[in-house]
Amino acid sequence: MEKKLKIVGFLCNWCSYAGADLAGVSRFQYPADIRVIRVPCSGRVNPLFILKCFQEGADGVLVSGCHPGDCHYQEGNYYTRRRMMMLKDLFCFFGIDKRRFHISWVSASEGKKWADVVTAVVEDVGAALRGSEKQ
Amino acid sequence: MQTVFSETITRVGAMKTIDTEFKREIAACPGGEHIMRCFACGTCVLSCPVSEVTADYSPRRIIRMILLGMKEEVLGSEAIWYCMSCYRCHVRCPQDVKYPEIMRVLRKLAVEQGYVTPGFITAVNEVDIAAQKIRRDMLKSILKKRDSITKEDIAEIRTLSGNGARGR
Amino acid sequence: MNKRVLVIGGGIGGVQAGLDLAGMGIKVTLVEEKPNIGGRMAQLDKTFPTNDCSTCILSPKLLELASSPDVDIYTCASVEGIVKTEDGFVARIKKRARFVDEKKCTACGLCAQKCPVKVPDPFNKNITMSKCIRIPYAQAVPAVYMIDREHCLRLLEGKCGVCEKVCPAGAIDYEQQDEIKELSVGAVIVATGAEEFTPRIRPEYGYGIYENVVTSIEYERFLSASGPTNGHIVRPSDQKEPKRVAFIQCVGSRDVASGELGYCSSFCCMQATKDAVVTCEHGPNIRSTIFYIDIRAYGKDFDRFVDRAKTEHGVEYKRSRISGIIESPDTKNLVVRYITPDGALKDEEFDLVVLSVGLRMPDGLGGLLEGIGVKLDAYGFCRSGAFSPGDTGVDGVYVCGTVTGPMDIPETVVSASAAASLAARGLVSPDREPLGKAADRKEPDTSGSPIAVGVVVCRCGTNIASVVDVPSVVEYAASIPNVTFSEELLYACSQDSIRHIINKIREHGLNRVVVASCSPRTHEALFQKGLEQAGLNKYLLQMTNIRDQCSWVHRDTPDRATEKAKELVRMAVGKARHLTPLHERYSDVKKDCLVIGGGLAGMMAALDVADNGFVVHLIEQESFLGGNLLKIKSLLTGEDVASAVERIVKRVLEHPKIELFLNTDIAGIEGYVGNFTTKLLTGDRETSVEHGAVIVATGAREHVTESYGYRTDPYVVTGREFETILEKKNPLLKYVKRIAMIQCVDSREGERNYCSRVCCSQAVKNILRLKERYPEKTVYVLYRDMRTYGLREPYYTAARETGALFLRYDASRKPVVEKIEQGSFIIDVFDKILQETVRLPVQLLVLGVGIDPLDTNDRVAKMLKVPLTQDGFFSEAHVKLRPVDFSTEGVFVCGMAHGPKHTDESIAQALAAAARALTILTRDRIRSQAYSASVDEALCTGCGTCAEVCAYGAIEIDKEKARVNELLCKGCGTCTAACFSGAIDLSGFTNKQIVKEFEELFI
Repeated sequence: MEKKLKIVGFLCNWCSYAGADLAGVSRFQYPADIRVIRVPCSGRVNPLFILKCFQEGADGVLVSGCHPGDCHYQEGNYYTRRRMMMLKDLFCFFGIDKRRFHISWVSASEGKKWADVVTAVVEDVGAALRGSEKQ
Repeated sequence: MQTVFSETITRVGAMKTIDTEFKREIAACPGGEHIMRCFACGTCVLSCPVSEVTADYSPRRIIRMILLGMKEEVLGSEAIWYCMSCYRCHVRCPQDVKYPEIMRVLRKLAVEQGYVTPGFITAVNEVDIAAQKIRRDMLKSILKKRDSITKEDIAEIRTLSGNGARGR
Repeated sequence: MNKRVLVIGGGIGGVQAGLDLAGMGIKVTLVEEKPNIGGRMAQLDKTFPTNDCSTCILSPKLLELASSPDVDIYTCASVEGIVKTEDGFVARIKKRARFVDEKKCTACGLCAQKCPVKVPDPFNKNITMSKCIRIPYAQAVPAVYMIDREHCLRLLEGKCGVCEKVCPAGAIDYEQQDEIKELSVGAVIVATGAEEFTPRIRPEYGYGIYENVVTSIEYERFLSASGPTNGHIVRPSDQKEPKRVAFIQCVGSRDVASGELGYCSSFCCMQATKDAVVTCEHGPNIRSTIFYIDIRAYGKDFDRFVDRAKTEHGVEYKRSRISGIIESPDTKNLVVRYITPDGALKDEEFDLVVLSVGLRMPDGLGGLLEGIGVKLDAYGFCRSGAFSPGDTGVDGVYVCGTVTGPMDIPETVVSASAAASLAARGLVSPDREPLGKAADRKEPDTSGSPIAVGVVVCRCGTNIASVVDVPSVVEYAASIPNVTFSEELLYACSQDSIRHIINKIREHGLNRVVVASCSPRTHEALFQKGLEQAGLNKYLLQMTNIRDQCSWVHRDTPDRATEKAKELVRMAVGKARHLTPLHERYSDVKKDCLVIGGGLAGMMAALDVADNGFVVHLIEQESFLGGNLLKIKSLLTGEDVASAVERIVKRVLEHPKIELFLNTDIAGIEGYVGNFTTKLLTGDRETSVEHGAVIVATGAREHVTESYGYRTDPYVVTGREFETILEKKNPLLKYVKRIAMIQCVDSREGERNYCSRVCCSQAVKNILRLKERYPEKTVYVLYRDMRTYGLREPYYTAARETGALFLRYDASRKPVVEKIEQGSFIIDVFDKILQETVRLPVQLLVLGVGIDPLDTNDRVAKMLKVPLTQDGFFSEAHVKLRPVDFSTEGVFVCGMAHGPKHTDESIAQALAAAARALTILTRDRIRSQAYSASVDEALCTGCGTCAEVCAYGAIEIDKEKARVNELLCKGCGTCTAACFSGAIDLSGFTNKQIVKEFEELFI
């Protein structure tokens, strides 16, 4: 059996959280490894939260917001994109496998996409952890 | 600019003169009033006991031909003689088109315009009576063993209608 | 003038009208015949095209209405008569005895448990048995039991009396009598609804003879998780799950022969599509087939929904009206004969057949309405003129919902808001109690007391509990530090549950509450209200979503779902410990309204707001008013448009409360609900207006096609151009003898995969106008589905009766037009009925081209921060229940900006948008949100990074310290994540709260 993972998901209230709700309403099935934290905007996510998650023992972290251009708060997710890309670039420096950290854009109408994103993230994080175990 | 325009509607392959007034002619006769209401839902075909055994017989098709104005083809067709006036289509038609009444009108026109002889009408009536007699006799024979009907009995009856495939 | 409005009928229409009126500060009495409000919508399982749970979206509205201090609800009551008086009406209301005291009953259900008398349950369409004392369904509002007087042994024979003995609240009262009340009101809204049609009129479908033939509304109950089978689809004869389900459309509808039901019932095609999809979702082995005449997917995103039903769910659509159904006597399966696309007959066996029954006017309502002079149409519906939706012809009496004709939920909600705005005229009070008084109320200070968290875990019927082991989550919650109370509830959102939670907060001295249930997006406000009523600050609530994001999506791994639910609860408690009381801010409301767009919808919305006494700034880009309507000559229903437009434009121009800006563009909009500032650009002149609400009525435009030689031949015109040709008695009409109308040009495929809703009716209208004068002309209509929905259907019938011939084509086999010369074409079209290609010689082509969104929508949407749909129309807050609202408060939409629609629909929507805007403008103060950024000046270095990233200009650097304008702050938190020194934080989502939330996951 696959290892149970603990992946923290930071979801903006307006798009990705609504999309995750829609996945539920549409009954799209996905792995139960994700724990969602609702934030008003993906721009609310301080990069330090992500580092803190990994420090505490998270297997993976996902930040998901509105599609760039569709931010409920106009441009919050542009900041998210920049911040998170920068952070990701620093991961090899920290010694964390990049595959354990994901960013996605899921809108309120993309229930299926949310299910697909979670499935892909769980797979990636799992692969990253298996890789590091081998080493 | 005035274009000379032929009053024809053609089906690919066979060109026939059309008569756009044909439907109004029918509509003017008692029983034909609602013909133009038809929205081609097909309820008549599905209700029809003749369509059940005759693949190319479709009341809906006849109505469509009338509405398109294919007068010659309709009056000259075999199809208008197939109706057995059971009125099932009439009862179930959501638009109250009264197909059997329209058939009555068409048959009258067919005689008047020389597509059939008056004697043909008499012959058709005799066929209907004979068919009822055959039906009654067959029913009588199965009623005799109504408590012991076998699959073979049913198969035997089916062969009469074209080997169980509804003769279609 | 009497200020109260009587609303008759407590379905979604009556409820919405009541909410809007109360929102405008008008007192409402709502009378409902049934023991609870909610109407038919409460019986539905899900709603199309989003498949939202019907109860989930309805419940919050019902509770909001029931808790409004301005609304009196009389259930088990009927209006016996209405008499016109000098300043309004006097209504005689009969309130039938419930034999249960509404004030005392806590809906604990003990009475029903012990009641010995079983009776068929009307809420479940008599499919199951219920008790003689009962409540219709778990979330019923009001949550009060009722004794069925027809069957109660105590009432009939003086025996039994068990319920009185077991009732802990002493609520049973066998002596209760029916009461007659007289009530003076200023206006009346009739929202009594329609009833579903009995399929017995078409006995050939075997309803009432064959057990496995059910109606669509009965089937909804089978699908519903709270229905008689707990959401398992079973067929009545053997309680087994059917593998093949057939839906038969137009049972009673579009049927002039079986009665007077020559109309289309509007919603059944989509209801069947939804039910078929939900059926397929019940298991991989269930197949659904829909038998239909035309698929009427005319609404927003409906065609895409049908496409998804076909491609993603495998629902089969078979175009064949069914003639009759035959039961196989041994299996009780049902044989349905249909016509295949190539004309052959085929028999198919089904385990269950669902008859899609439409709506008809109930008998008996006519008397009440006709008593006050309201006229009904041939079908018994109370139909208004196209330019005056909601109007009954009697001043002060208005109608909405299905009593005006068959319609779907959003149309009902729109018409209800419209009726509310009509009824409000002259009743809107300038001296209403300012909002926010309640906020001055003292809340107990809990800051010093130890943290006591209560955890409520919702079963949501079986929605959560069938996957997540709820009792073990409750047990686990109890073990989390600071949790002093935990329990499970069947439906946490029901009225009795909320009351229960309030009691528990008081009883256990809870100062934080965690609700593990569904989405905070839909239910947070409801539970927050409960906290408030318990005397707690409502921001001491933390919800966690164990349904939409857990039980529903981890169906196959119940153990892991349970484990996840436990961790989610733990995380929620982690955050809850650090929640602090928050307070909303209040701001004054600017009393003016901005209406963007001077077309029909914009003008009607402007007039309605202005008639209610508020100043309107009406903006129009062009140099004239009227928009698309100027190009329409008459309506399907016969009304002359030109005179109506003239009348409306004149009223707008002369209205003292409307300030008109022609040739004007919007340069920018700033602010928030109640407090907008908009810069207008008229030529070079810039003006600025201040207003409290915005109504978007920018409209849409006719699609420009290049198909079928349009623009290269004057004999190829659009439907709207043909309308003008007809009107002007163009000489062209003398020459043209044969006309072909081609529908769905460039529509319902590819990029434009939507239905423009109006083109079928436009073709029908054009035929009727043409044939009035030239009955001899030949007309062919080449169509894909005729979508003359609702009461438009009789016009389609009339168009066929003129002799126009309707030929259907498939999208995959479009008509081919060969141009012989100018004004002479041969159309080759494959006729499905003849199964041959017919060649039609015609002289004029009329194209049904449909409607496109405006290119400028994008710009307006960005300025207002509101979304557009995939097709480029404005996207409302909720397709069913918030059809004219945006998620952004204070901004509303109406008319074709929202999507293609008919004149009467545009007007109804305009009035609805006005009503919604009035719920803001009538207030002196409105609440702004509590979540806001704040600065710890001791840590702030004044670097200005926060001010730079704030999209709302809410942060200024003042004396080297950042300062937040709380009224402008939207609470996004982008600044908090940008701050280098951790000086700025966001209340409700503080750094500490978020960190503590995820830390719990790793303890």
